[in-house]
This record gives sequence, C-alpha cells and structure tokens, in this order.
Amino acid sequence: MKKTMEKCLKSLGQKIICRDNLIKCLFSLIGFSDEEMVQSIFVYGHTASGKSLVIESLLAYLKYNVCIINCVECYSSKLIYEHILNDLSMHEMNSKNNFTVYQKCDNMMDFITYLQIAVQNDKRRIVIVFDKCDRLRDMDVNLLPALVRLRELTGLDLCTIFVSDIVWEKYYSKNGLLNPIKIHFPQYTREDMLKVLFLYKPKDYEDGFYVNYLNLFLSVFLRCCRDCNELRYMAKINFDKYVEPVESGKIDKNDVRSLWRNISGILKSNLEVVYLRVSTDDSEQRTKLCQEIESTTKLALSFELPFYAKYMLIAAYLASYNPAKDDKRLFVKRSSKKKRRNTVTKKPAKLNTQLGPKAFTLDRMLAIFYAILDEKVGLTANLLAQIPTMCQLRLLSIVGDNNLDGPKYKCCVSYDFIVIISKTVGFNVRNYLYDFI
Amino acid sequence: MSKKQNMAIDFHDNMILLTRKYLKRKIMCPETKFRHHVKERVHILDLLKRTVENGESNSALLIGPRGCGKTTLINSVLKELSSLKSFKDEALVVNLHGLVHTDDRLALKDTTRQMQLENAVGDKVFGTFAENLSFLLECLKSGDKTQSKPVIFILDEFDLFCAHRNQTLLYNLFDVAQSAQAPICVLGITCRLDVIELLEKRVKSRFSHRQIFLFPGDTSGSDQPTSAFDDRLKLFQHLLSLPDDENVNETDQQYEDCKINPQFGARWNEYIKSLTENMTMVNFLKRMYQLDVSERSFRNFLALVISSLSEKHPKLEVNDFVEANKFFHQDDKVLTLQGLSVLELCLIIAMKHQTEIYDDEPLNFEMVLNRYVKFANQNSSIQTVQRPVIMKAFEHIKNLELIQPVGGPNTRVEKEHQLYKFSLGWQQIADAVKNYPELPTEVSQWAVSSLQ
Ligand SMILES: Nc1ncnc2c1ncn2[C@@H]1O[C@H](COP(=O)(O)OP(=O)(O)OP(=O)(O)O)[C@@H](O)[C@H]1O
Ligand SMILES: Nc1ncnc2c1ncn2[C@@H]1O[C@H](COP(=O)(O)OP(=O)(O)O)[C@@H](O)[C@H]1O
Ligand SMILES: [Mg+2]
Ligand SMILES: [Mg+2]
Repeated sequence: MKKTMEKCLKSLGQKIICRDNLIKCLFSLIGFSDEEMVQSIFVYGHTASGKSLVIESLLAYLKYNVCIINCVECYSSKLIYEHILNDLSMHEMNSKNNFTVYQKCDNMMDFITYLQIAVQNDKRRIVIVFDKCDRLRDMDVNLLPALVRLRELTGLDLCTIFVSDIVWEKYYSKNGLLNPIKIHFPQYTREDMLKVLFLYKPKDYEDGFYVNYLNLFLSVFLRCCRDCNELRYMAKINFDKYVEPVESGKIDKNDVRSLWRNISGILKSNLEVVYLRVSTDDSEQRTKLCQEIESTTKLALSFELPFYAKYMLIAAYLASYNPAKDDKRLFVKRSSKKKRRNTVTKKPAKLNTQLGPKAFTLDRMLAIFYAILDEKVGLTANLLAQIPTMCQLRLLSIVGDNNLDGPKYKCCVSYDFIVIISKTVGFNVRNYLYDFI
Repeated sequence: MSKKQNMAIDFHDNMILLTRKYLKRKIMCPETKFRHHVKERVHILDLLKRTVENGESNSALLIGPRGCGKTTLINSVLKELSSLKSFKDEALVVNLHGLVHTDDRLALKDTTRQMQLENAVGDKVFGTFAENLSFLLECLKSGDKTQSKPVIFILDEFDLFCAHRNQTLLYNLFDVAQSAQAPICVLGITCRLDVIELLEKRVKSRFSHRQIFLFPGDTSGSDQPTSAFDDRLKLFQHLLSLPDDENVNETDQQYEDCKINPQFGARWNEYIKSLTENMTMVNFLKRMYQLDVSERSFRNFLALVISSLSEKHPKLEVNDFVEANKFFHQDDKVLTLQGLSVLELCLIIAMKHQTEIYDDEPLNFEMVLNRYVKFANQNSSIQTVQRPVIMKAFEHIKNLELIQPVGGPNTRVEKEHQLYKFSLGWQQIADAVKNYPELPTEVSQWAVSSLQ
C-alpha cells in the first residue's frame, strides 16, 4: 500500500493533535519513498512541544530502518557508534549473545565501514535521530560535523535528524558546520495546551467539568510554566484536590464558583511547592529547592535561635555584605551626621547585597556584633560555641580551611531571611546595610 | 504499476508527484553536471591526467568557501577520468576525509584497505610511517613494470590533517610526490584560505605550492560571462525546469524513468520562466543572494520549496518561496523567547534593563530578581510568586543557553550569585514581545520603557 501524506496525517492524527503542519513538513522532506531525502534536519523547540512524539511516530509509520539515540544515555562517541550499528543491523543484545554489541567500534572511520556492511542487504532507507543532541558538542570534536554530513561520507540513502531545545547558533564550531534544514516546533498556545491536557482526562468525569477545571488550572500555572510535561503532571495531582468536595458531596459539581474558591488557594500554594518538587529530575536540586522555600518563610520565623545567636547572624550578614573599610563609619557610635556623598555617578553602583556574600574573619564579625548590640557583655566564649551549630544549619559556611589568620566565614542566608530575623529582635538591618545608606 | 492503474489516477495529480520527484533529484543529486569554473576544472583534470598517463607526481590544494562545489568538482573530474581506459586499468584513488580519518594511523589503515592490500600487509610490522607507505606503493608495482600504479590521494577537509601529530601523513605524501618515488598525486580540499600557514616548514617545503581557488559567483570562464546574480537566476530557472519538447533529448540517462508529459513540462517551464521575470520574485532572490551565496544553501532552499508541492497545491507561488526562506533566515532566538512563560519573559526583560543600566556588565540571579520584584510590586495585576519559582524560571533560561556563565566552572559560587553574560538584543526582545499571545499590557509596556 502506498503511504501518502494524507494517510499518514490520518493515522498519526489519532494520537497527536495540533501538529498537522509539522507532520506534513517532515513528511514532505523524508516521507516520499521515491524522492531524495534531505541530508540532515535540525528540529528544535521547547521541552515537551512534541518533537520526539512527532518524529518517532512518523518514523514508525514510515517503516524505515531507524535508530533513535538519546545523547544523554549514550554519552560518548563509542556508545553512539555501537548503538547505531546495533539498531540498524537489527542486532539485539540478549543473554544468548552474552550482551555483546553487534560490532565494537570507537572511531568514525570504522563506524562508516561497519555501517556500510551492516546495511548492504537492507533496502530500507535509514534515518538516525539524535535526541538531546546538544550533548554531542561535548564529545569528540569531529563527531557532530561528521554526523551532519553522514550521507556524503557513507554514500548511503540516509538522513540524520538532530533534536534539541537549544538554537542552532549554539552549535557553531570554529571549523564550520554544514547547516541542516531547521524546523521549529512552536510552543503550544493556551488553547492548544488545553486540548493536549484534555487528552489525559480521567475517565469518570464529564468533558465540560474537566475543561472547567483545566481553565482554572491554567490560569494559575501557565504564567510560570509552559512545559507540557510538567503541566500534565500538575493537572493530575491537583485534580484530586479539585474533585474532593464533589466526591464528598460538599459542593455540587456544577457550582463552578465554589469549586474555584475551594481550589484557587490550593493551586497557588501547590505552584510553589509541588511544582518545584516534581519539576527537576535531580533529587539533590529538588531537596535544595524545598529547603529554600522553607528557609525564606516558615523556617525563619520558627527558628528558635537564641537571642544572641540571632544578633550574631545579623552581624555575620552585615560582615558579608558590607565593605570592611566602611565598618568604622557605620558602627562607631553614629554621632556624626551622615554626609551625603556628592559623587555623581552615571550608572548606579552595584548593590553588595546582589553580588553575594564576601568572606569575613571572626574578629570582624565580633566587632560588628558588639557594635550593633550596644550592650557591654562579655559573651565571646559562648558565642564562639554557637558557630559550629550555625554552620551545621547552613546559616554560615567556612571558606578556605587553612588561612594564616584563622578561618574565614560567609553568611549563607538571604536578605529576606535576615530581615525577618532582625524583626524578631527589634533590629532594623536596613539602617546598617551599606547598600541602603 | 500497470497501465490500467496508471489511468485511474488523475492525470494532473500524478504529474505533480512526478514533478516533485524529478525536481528533487535534480536539485539534490550533485552528480549532475558541474557548472562554471572551467579553468579550475581543466587545471585539476590536467594534473590528474598527467599522473595517470605520464606517471608524473604532483600535489595541489583546492581552496574555496563552504558549499561552493569543491567536492562536486573533484567528483565530476574523477567521473570523467573513470571513462578513460588507462585510468580504469591503471590508477587507484584513495579518498581520505579530515572528519573521518582523525589520525594518521586510521588514515594509513584505510589507505591500505582502499588499495586492497590488507592481505599483502598481513601482520607485518613497520618501523616508520614512511616505510609502511613505501611498502604499500611498492606493492602496486605489477609484474614486468618498474613503475608502480599511479595513485591519486584526495584529502577532503585538508586543514584537519594539519592538526595530526607531526603532520606525518602529509610529510610523507608530499615527500613521495616531490621526490617522484612513485607516481602519486596529492590533492587537498579545504575551505581555509590560510591553509599554507598551517603546514610545518619541512612539510611546506615539500609541497608544490600549487593552489587552485574556487570562488562562488565566478562565471568568468563560462561561454557568456554574466553577473553573479544573473547566474543565480539562471540556476534557479534551470533547477526548477522539467524536461519538455525542446530539451527532452538532452536529459541525462539517469532520468530515463521520468514519465512527465512533455506538454505538462512545457507549461510548467513557461510558468517558471515567468517567475524569473516577476519583480517581487527577483528582488526576493536578490536579497537572499546578498545574504548567502553558497550554492548548497540555495539548493536546500529550493528542495524545501519543492516539498510544498502537493495535489492540493500544484503550483509554486511566490509566497511558497518566502515561506521556505523563513526556515533559513528566521531568528531562532526570537522563536525561543516566544515559547517562554510570562514569568520567564519578564526575567528576560529584567535582564535587558539590568545590562543596559550597567553597560553590558554580567548579571546574576539576585540582580534580576530585584528588578523583577520591583516591577511586580508596582503592578498589582502581576501575580507575585515565591523566590524559588522565579529561580526555577531563571534556571530554565540558563539551560536554554540564552545567558552564558562567566568564569570557569571551578569558581565556586552559590547559584544565585553566579554571574552570566546576557547577549540578546532589544530588537529580538521587542519582536518576541510583539508576537507573544495575550501578554499582559504591563509587561509589554515594561519591555518598551527604556529605563525602569
Ligand atoms: N559549480 C557547481 N556546479 C554544480 N553544482 C554545484 C556547483 N557548485 C556547487 N554545487 C552544488 O552545491 C552543493 C555543495 O557542493 P560541495 O559539497 O561540492 O561543496 P564543498 O565546496 O565541498 O563544501 P564543503 O567545504 O562544505 O565541503 C552540491 O550539492 C553541489 O551540487
Ligand atoms: N501535540 C500533542 N498531541 C498529543 N500529545 C502531546 C502533544 N504534544 C505533547 N504531547 C505529550 O507530551 C509528551 C512530551 O512530548 P515529547 O514529544 O516527549 O516532547 P519533546 O520531545 O519535544 O520534549 C508526549 O509524550 C505526549 O504525551
Ligand atoms: Mg524529546
Ligand atoms: Mg566538501
């Protein structure tokens, strides 16, 4: 049966929506089996804009000899060569062959020779897809330039497709690259996104009910995030909360207004907690983000730091964010009235608070501590005992262990945090920050 | 397909598919005739012939910008030579490519393979590269002759071979060529004009210094010299034309299977000709030519245009060309910006303001956040979100490489203080803002207000 573009659209249209034009475009470049294929294609667009979905479905439909490579998984040129050879020769690694590859290969020359041999009795056309291809830049320097012109190098009826969310400009190298044909996957509009999310409607609910929900959901989430993968996941999680009062009979399912009142708060707080939690694959980063949320609001208030420790933290913050040379002016009995500096600077000076903490010595911190406390108390020994705890809580951190003049520290809390801490002890930190004077 | 089935298909529809197929092949198959650069082509042809027929040794470099037809020229010369009897019986061609043969060991291994001398070499161990090479050349001496077979070495992306350790391969090839130990011709292809500077002294001194330059748009050698753009226009017409009554005889054999109806072809060609007289079309092509003279890009562009043909769209309109051109000349970064969330776009605008105020100095998360928060606080309609959500948006922008970290990875700073370089232009941001669907007016106003 002849595979025409119309049939293809119809077949793929069953599971892919809003992408007819792109399917047509790709089909017309590689889909007509008696026409030349283009040498290479670069497909780019934001995460979850359907790039992999469209390409993989199209290739499955066309029944070419296809190899799809995730360049994060195949992180070296050797892995890539061997993966391609396995796939295109339809070699399967299993217990029978002791999980050996079709052919060991670690350089472009052997790869081309083996590839020519592997497919010599296979009449199907070859398409090789490199997903997340930005990683190719970190591998052998000849790899990407050679893959872009693989057809010229192998003489096979072959097309390479590169998929990425980074623009092609970032791939230029000093030796120059052949430019593939670029195809852009635009981000979904709000309407499209709604349609895509709607595909994943839970079975037991009416269409209209779910559309209402999605509208409310998008009105909160879409401003911060247009990643379809994340939205899909978030829509699912929050839907359980949305239907809870309906299930328990508290709210009628047609009472959109009450449903909105019920869900809007939840959505907003989930945006800040759940969205961040699920969003990254990297668990270390995830915990760090959670820490951050908690640290700025709740933690700061509930922190039962001793009174003097709070002052010490403030002193540490001031030491980190004020230039040492101005300590005198700021802290030595603020008797003389502030003199306005009349320097006319065209561009405003950068704020220290934005540049990150600078390291300070204990002596300096203690000096500031006594200056701002304005009490004559001999607390040094007790205070120093607090330091390890504060380091453990990640309020302070040590910089460079072997300084000649004792260890140096940095204050690791943010401006918001220190403002809250200061308030609890009735101190106005702004009055002492160089940036604000 | 049987005759009957053929009749069933609508005549016109079928023609369009055949047209697509025919034109795509014409555009994308470089083995079609090589045009222009007659002098350069003859020069190379002559050089190779002298090696093959007279056993002379030679070396030369073919230099020209990307996509101007260097590889095509060599292939067309080799194709012409391969019809000579002496060439078929006597000569050997060894094709090496800088991107494939990344060191001299690989180059030599493949040379052996292409000379079909793997068996002769067996597990012999050679002391030096030179010994190995001369053994190979020695093997080519056949029976009664004292001379070995002529060998043509083609080194594509020649400049990459210059980076090999000690330039051993180049040294030995040029050495053999210069001292005429065996009849070889070493032909390098490169797009680097300064390629001679890359050669080490001892290598340079063995090279013949024969450099052949290929410049796109140089039509001086052709029958009737024309301006470079007129030539492009001619190529346009040629590549889009079908065989018709007039030129049906001259179509290459490779198009034998072409069953395009000559009347249809004549009508089609008439129309293509009218396109080359259409001022909008001509001006458009001229602008394209001014941006990019490479023939490869032009052919890619035409291939895309042809791809828009279908039963439903059987004719090429000027607009099809304009649309196809967008694939090449649209601003990818603007498209990326348009796909960001409102929050992310706001951060981009904040970054722009920040870099503008501080004369392109690098920026970090805190600075951007500060600017954004100020803006959000002044506009009650902008929902404020917590810092980590903003941080995440910032990281997304970083992952898209719209900002580049400054300083090496080993400078350990907290991520909110890591400095970045921001390099998007106002125009790019303005374009993205203009086309962003349903962007809150405060945001677009903020984007256009110069200093906030
Ligand atoms: N004079 C010409 N005659 C016919 N075709 C040409 C000519 N010049 C360029 N082309 C076409 O342009 C395309 C690119 O040519 P080619 O691959 O030879 O370029 P190149 O100079 O080797 O480029 P690179 O430096 O990137 O390898 C080919 O498709 C070829 O058909
Ligand atoms: N147009 C669409 N129609 C149906 N589902 C879609 C569409 N776009 C995205 N999706 C869903 O989002 C998921 C992510 O898309 P994917 O192709 O992996 O994105 P990308 O490769 O661009 O990052 C798909 O697996 C699919 O479930
Ligand atoms: Mg993907
Ligand atoms: Mg070339």
